Amino acid sequence: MFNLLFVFMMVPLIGCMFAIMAKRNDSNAYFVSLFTTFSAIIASLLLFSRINYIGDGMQLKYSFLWLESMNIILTFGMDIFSLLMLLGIYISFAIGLVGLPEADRKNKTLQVMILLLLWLFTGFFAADDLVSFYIFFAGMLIPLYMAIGLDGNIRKKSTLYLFFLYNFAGILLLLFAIMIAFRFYHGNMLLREFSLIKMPMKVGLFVWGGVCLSFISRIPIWPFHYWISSISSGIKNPLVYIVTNLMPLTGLYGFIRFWQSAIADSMRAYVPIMVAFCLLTMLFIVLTGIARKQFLYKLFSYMTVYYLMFLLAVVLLSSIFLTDTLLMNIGYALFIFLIVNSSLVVLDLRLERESAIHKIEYKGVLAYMPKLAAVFAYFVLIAIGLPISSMFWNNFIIISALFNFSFFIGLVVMVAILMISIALLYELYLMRDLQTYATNNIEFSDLTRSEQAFFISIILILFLSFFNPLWFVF
Amino acid sequence: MIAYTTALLFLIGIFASFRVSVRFDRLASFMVCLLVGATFWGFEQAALEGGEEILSFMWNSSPSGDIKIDIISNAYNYGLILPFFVITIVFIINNTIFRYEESRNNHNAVLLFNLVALIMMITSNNFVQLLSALFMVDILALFIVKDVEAYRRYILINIVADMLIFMVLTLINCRVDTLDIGEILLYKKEGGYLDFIAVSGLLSVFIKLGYWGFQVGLYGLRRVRLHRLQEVLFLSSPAAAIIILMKFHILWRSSFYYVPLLCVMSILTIIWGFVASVIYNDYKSKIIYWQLMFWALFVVLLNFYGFVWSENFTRLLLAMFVLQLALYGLYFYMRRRSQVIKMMLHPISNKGAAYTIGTIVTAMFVTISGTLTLLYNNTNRYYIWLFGILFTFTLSTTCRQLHFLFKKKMKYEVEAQSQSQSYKTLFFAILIVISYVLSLGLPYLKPTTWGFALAFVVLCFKNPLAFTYKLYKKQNLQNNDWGGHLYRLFALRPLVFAGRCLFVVFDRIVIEKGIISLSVSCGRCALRIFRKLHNSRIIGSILVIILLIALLYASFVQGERHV
Repeated sequence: MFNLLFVFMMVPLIGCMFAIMAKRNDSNAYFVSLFTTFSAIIASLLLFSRINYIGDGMQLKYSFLWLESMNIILTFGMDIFSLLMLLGIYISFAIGLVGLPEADRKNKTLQVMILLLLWLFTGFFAADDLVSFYIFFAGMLIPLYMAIGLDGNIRKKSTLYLFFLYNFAGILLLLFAIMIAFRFYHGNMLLREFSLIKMPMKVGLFVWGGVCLSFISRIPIWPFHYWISSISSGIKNPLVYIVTNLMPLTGLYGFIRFWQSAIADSMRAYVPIMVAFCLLTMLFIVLTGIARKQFLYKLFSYMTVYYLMFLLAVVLLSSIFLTDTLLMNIGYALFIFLIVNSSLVVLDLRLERESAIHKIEYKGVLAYMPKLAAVFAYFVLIAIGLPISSMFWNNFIIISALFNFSFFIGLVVMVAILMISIALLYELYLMRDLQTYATNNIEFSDLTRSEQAFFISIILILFLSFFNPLWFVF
Repeated sequence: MIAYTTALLFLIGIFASFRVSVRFDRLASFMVCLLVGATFWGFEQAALEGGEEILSFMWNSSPSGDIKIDIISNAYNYGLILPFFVITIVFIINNTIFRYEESRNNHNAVLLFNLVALIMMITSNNFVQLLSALFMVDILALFIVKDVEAYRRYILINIVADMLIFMVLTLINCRVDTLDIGEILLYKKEGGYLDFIAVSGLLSVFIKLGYWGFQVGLYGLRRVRLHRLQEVLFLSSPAAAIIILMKFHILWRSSFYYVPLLCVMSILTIIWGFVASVIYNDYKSKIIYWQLMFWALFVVLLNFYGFVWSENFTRLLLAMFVLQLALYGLYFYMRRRSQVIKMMLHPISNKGAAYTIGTIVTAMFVTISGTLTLLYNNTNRYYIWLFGILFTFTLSTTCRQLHFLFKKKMKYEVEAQSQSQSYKTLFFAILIVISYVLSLGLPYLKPTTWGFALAFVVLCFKNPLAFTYKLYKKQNLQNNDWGGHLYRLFALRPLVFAGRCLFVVFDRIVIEKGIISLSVSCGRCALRIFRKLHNSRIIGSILVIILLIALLYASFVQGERHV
């Protein structure tokens, strides 16, 4: 039977095929990527209208028998949360593509890798069974590694290897956990059934430990944040940066899918340790973010703090009441968060390029580009949680739930958010400093009319979400 | 009806935000004035008719219930909105009369949106609406100030205040599980962290009001044009702070720390405001501290009255506003000189204007002292008069240049104002009308009503604090930004230092030089060992034998355990 979800999942893959066949050293592959991304956005909007909001679990399901001998049936489906995440990812990719420097647009390999990643992301968020989830989860690492290696401009290659090894270890852990789970279940299973498998305590601990560690390997948690942070702050290609910083989302989503119904008994005792590490990481990353001068590092700190806040909300509230409404609040906030991050990355890297070309200080650079400055300021204000997007009141609800769980946890989260907000704002005003502007009279290339229109439409999406997070669904 | 007014103001704001050419700017601004004036007239009529109406519609949902937009029209809210409405209108009229802004109309739009946000705060009945409006006021302040250097500290310190209030409301919401402001007293029953909530909430209010220790944000605004400064001082964060305090004092006052903290900080601010406004040469700095002093008194008076708004508070606020506008006139006629020393060297050449300003200032003094008399009658708190004395001294030192008009012939400043006389007359006419309305119903028979005004006039001629003028020439004192130094020393530097230490110790030393180097060395060592094993040397054979023995031993020990 013709399935809309299947078609939707195939869009990036078809785009990837076209990109492979495109001319080398030309922008053809770039335009294929752009077209594919926008097609995926339109397709996801179409899917929104087919999904029932109140409906429970995955919808628009389809499955097929993959390995008959092992009784592996791959199942795919979509719910409003995963579709919202996918839309956020597609828009982030579109922002990254628009912000890609002219020279990088001709890099065909990069475009192919990016489209492959787009497909893998789509598959990952649509996966409803253990095997397909693992395939897409593991599959992302190779194109990501290649994209970073090819176009990330990473100076320390050893960091890149360690980044790969660290993530690879995570994948292996998940593989072992799944293999052990297979022994108890005798075949593939749906994700929501995973937490219901009866396993001996020690085995459960090993399985769940593996699952948790594999997801954590995607999130920069102290003391393993270093590889991710050094990779993130070193990347100069906006698209690669965006993709790299979408990796924590896969870890977070893993927790949401595996722990949505209940937290595993064997892991319950270890949750406080995980929470302690999350809080420690938050404070550590925020303080180092304040101390570092690079805006990208501050942005990385900001992303980490927010990812960890969402993780805390998912992990802690799974053990009491991760209601559908609260999960959707997390989803709405994440959606805005993804778009804002991508926009800030693109704009900041543009500023860095311009300041490098004109050999002027980073301080005061925004004074030369008034249009970019206005857009940049708007995104920073959204990022810090002001009420110009739905992130504001969703954060309110999430933090309130965290306070309800524990006053101390809520307080640490608030302190971390406050400090990183101040750091971002301070950096914004440093970039808008007019003192150096008077002495230098240089012509900068500000946002073009089409770029301006693009970013204004993004701003409009975010602003309208303040009134209704799903305003685009009819 | 308030909902109707708010919608109209919002629509006029949208109309005003369209950019028009310089040629039609004043005309468009005048149109906006008329429209806002008509809206105000409708608002006043509705306020006089009274009655209660509630406009409520659902905005979104949350686990704690629906998020609603509530606009409650009742006599209390009408009374509370009135002063802010009047102040906004007068600022818009001034904006039309004087050449304040490059685009008058856009500035009017910002002021109107700000008023809408304040109305939303006043009429709100749920946390999310209140917070949204509060944050909007702060965002709009950036558009009012329009000076990156000036608002850097202001916005940074305000974001701390906003986050504090955000945290307080999330904490209340999590315990009472409702977004309804009317239900906040349930928090007392739930218990826990009441002192924390009260202290955090008060800190937020202190920061917004620019209380002692937190004045750095508002003081940073001394760089901006005076009319913008006055707009922020009356309509932005301080006004929002007063509204917050009025909404939440009912819960916060249950804390043991509430009253002492509020009183001590208010008194410190009044004293600090007095000292700073006397010693500073900069006219704008004087006005800032003077206003901070006023807000501190205002909070104390509101506290005496249980934060129940009344006509007297409206009168007090508007009288202060008119006084400030009169001072703006003084500044304007002194060719916008911001140094008081220079102002005194070049008094106003336009005697008519000077006399009018002097009369308005004195009349407002009568209004303020008359209102204080009314407020005193109900509370019998003697220290209200202490404030009156400090206030008189402060203002007399600020307005001392007025007495030169009567003293001797000076080298007058050449008339250099480009504004036509009719516009200036309009400005004074508005001030006189408001002054007249405010003066109605004052206790004129009480000596205190006149006493302070007379004292002010006398002090303008013979001021015992005249010695402070010597301090105006002390550059170290005038240019030193103590607040900024303390802010950097105690807030910024420790954070940056801690961050650098953590980065160097953990990221550089432990991870980069420790873990990564160790893993690389281990890898190299393993490679070397395996290479040696493959060599046909004796050492290779010995290594293989050692490894095999180790393996055998491990298997033996493991086997023993299982047996």
